[in-house]
Amino acid sequence: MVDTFILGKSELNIDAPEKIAGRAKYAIDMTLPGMLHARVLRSPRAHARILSIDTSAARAIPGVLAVITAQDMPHLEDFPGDRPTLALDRVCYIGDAVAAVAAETLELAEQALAAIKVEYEDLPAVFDPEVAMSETTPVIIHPSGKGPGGKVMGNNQAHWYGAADGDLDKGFAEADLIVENRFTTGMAQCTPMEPHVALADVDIYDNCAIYCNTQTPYLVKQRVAEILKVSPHKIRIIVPPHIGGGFGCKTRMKGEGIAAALSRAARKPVKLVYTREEVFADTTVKHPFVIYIKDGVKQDGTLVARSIRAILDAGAYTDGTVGGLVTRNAAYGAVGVYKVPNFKLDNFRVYTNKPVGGAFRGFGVAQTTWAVESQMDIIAEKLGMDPLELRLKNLLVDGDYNPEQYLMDAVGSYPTVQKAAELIEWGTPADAPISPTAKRAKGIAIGCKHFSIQTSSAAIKIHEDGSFEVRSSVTDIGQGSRTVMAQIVAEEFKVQMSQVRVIRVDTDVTPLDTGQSGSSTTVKAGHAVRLACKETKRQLFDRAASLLEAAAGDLDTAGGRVFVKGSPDRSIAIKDLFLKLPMGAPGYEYGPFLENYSELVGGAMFYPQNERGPKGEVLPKVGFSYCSQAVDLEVDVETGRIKIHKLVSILDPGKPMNDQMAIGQIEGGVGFGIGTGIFEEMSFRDGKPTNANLTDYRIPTALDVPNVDQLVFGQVETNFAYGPYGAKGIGEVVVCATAAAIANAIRSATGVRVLAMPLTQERVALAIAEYEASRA
Amino acid sequence: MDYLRPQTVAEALAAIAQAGGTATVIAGGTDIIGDIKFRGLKPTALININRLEGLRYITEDASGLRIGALTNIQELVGNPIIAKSYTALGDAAERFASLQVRNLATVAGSLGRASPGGDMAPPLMALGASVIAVSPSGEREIDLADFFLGPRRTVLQPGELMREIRIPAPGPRSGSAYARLSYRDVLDLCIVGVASGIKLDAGNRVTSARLALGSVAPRPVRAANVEAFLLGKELTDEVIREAGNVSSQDANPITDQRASAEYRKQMMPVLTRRSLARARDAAQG
Repeated sequence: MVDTFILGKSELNIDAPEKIAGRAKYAIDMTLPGMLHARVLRSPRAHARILSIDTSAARAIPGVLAVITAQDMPHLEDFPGDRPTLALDRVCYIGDAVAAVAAETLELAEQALAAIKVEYEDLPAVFDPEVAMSETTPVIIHPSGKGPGGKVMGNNQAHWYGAADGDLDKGFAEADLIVENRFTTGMAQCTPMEPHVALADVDIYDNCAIYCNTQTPYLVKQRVAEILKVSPHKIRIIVPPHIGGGFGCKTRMKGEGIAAALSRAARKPVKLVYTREEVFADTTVKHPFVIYIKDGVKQDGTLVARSIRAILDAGAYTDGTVGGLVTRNAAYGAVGVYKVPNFKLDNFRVYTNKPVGGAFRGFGVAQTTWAVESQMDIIAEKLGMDPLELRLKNLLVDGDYNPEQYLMDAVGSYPTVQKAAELIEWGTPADAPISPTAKRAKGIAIGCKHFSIQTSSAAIKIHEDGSFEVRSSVTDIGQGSRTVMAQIVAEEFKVQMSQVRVIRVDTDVTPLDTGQSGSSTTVKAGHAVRLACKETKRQLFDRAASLLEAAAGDLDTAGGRVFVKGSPDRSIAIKDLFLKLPMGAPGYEYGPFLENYSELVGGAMFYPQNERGPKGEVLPKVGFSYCSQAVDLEVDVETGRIKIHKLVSILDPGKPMNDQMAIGQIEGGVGFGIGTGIFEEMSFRDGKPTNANLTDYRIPTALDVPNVDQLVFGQVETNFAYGPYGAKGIGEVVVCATAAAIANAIRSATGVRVLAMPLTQERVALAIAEYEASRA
Repeated sequence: MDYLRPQTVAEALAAIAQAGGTATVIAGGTDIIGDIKFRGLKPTALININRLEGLRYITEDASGLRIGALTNIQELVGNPIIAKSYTALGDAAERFASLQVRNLATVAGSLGRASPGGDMAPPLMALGASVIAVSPSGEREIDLADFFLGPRRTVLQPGELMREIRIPAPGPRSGSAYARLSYRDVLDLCIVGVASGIKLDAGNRVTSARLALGSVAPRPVRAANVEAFLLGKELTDEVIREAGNVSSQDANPITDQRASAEYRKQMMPVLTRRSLARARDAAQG
């Protein structure tokens, strides 16, 4: 970033003082007078018809003020319309919401749940997506969606996305070597530290305020309005400035609708806090994938053909538009890095009787990257090539069209992978392992994730003392967006950060935003705030122009003053643009205010144009960010335990908005990548979760991720002209390459190629034993 | 639910007797509270014994080590007597859950919960420990090898309380070690744990061997086949390797949410070898 006042610099995260002092307040800390406590009755059956629900005993308990079932809120999700907020006549997975209660205490709410009698009749269930989509599936969970050519797809197939380029048959015919593999990924949970919370307060006019920790306030506002069947203007979503993590599972409505319906039934505030088990089973999870990949290469390493068929395990329903988006976005993980002249991809999202797949940091791209970046090493080995050399030979560069017809721009794969290779000392063998039963080696992988370019708006108000207020509906789930928005305002008005306050999200006050997902926030909110600053400056300069006897276009501002460009002595303090009027008696005065009784506030909205391919194809506007990772690790060949000696993570952020916070994303991303890469996998027995708790679902602790000496990070900047001040979205790309880099190192160390992610020590140990047995 | 907090062993025994067999005794509470909050335990009375006088000590004399029932796990960590002569117990204490849990959880409580994967049982069994139980009718000593019946079940009778854990003095050329496997180094339950306690003669022949296995059976078990195999043999690397293989005959683990039976079976010989090798090094120390 050239010559900035404050942007790009490591300004203190404005959340930090409160968090460090333990004074940050979260939605879970909120209470309201007369508040009731909610609990949700959930299905113990994987797939069953509901024959009857008897709530009479629960309603009769003194202190239980509301009991609701689907009859009170039969509304389906908006798109594709497969998920009721409470089960209608059928439950489709263990954890499906059936009824909800609100009572004066949590204990009474628990009692009420136990008193609800539900009669079920079991239906056949299916848990494996490849079985579910086959002719021989034991059951159809929902009607199928539309596939290639607009035709209704086969059994249980909810979504399809396809992409193609060139002539696949011709490509494979030209190939000297064909490599085919089947990769899998496990189901994971975001496990934010703070569970989902909704505190709803519906008054007698059906005005509904909800305090919650959603990532998507405006989507929740819309959905709750549909559920209550009231105008959206009556719904007010308030999100405290602090949220205990999101990572995707707080996207779209979760408990807010149920809390609102209970509050309307009781006409009292109702607080619903998900238990950890509910967060696991009934928010949304990372889609498990089965990925078939077939590549054709020339002897010299040139990729000539690639076909991918990915099967996404959808779980029992669709989380609104997210299901289709993950199916679509998974393709980005297969097309962003390499030139492939002949290409075909088909992604199928398939229903099973399990928890619902939704948004999860990586958004489908982490899964396809795992397969592609493992596959590149497999090809290199078969060709006898260095895996880095094979990658470099096939990289897309600026000006290329990728296999989906995106014109590539600001491509960061080459500089990031080169830097990662340099810092891991690629080409020199790893040191000797520390443990006598271990083997040690290095691995490398390139991560590329699109960031979706969406819509956001912002308003900047200048107060009468010359300080600034930012109104935005961007929620800060830990990524630091509040700080970055304040930094942009400070940059534009050349003031200190302490002069800028970002108010909390409140949809009665803060303007439209599409939500914090898909690494979208920096770009869309960055633009929105930048444009809002421009509009606010215009108003400010108009107001100052006559007083300074200059044209508005000749004015600029810095340090709380407006001045004439080139004549800084012709200036006025911003606060002097506000008037004070005498009230009569001396010493009493009105104001300060503006003479037309308005606010000095400028608003703006940012929305992207679609992108066009070379033949006029309409493509959603996205950008690509890159993060290459290299690892030096040892594997205990007896136990399968992995010890990471060094992990290098090199990010292309375009231009970082806040250097230290970009580094924070790299550090956090490595922990997240290791978690989903080595440790975390939800397990089931006949559809029942067996590790839906933080004892048995193992997220890494601080001791299980590289420490400051073992983690080497860096940034290489690219010129992304479309980004605000050149910034790219970076929140997800930092997690994409980790698992493949580790798998590639394991292969180099032990000779064993593990095709299933996560690379748990059990999976690795069993694979090594099998490999050793086959060699004996 | 009644909640009682007696000050003496006599008061505690009286309170338990008065509750008529339905009382739940709690000390550190690190396990019981989880049962109450998440696993549906509804005790009619909760008797908190963590203030009983005189039950928190680690003392050694010629006969061996005595650990008071309310001694917490963290008190074992770094204790020089344990580190020197009862190494397996120190190994287990160091890796036990987390500092916060170790500061609350008691050694006796961990045994009383009879978790198949509890980390206190295998090392104490390998060291030949016994439990002193008190009841209104007197005291009795129970060999830890006979103590566990199954998950959450021990030979303790209603109305009995653990007062002390005793470990016989290991004597010269003895060594012990505990090897445990989990995914995380901390805050993670054991997948397979093997404790070895051995004595060697001047020719490095095994004169006594006690091995105990955790997380591979419904209760912590002694590895009788390994023990018989080792007795009288010179403890060479080759013998240790074979002893690992013999361990497969000593338990038939199951698949649960923490590991598959297959992985546990594969890890039993590995951890048996590792714990034996370290016990040998300690014995030869």
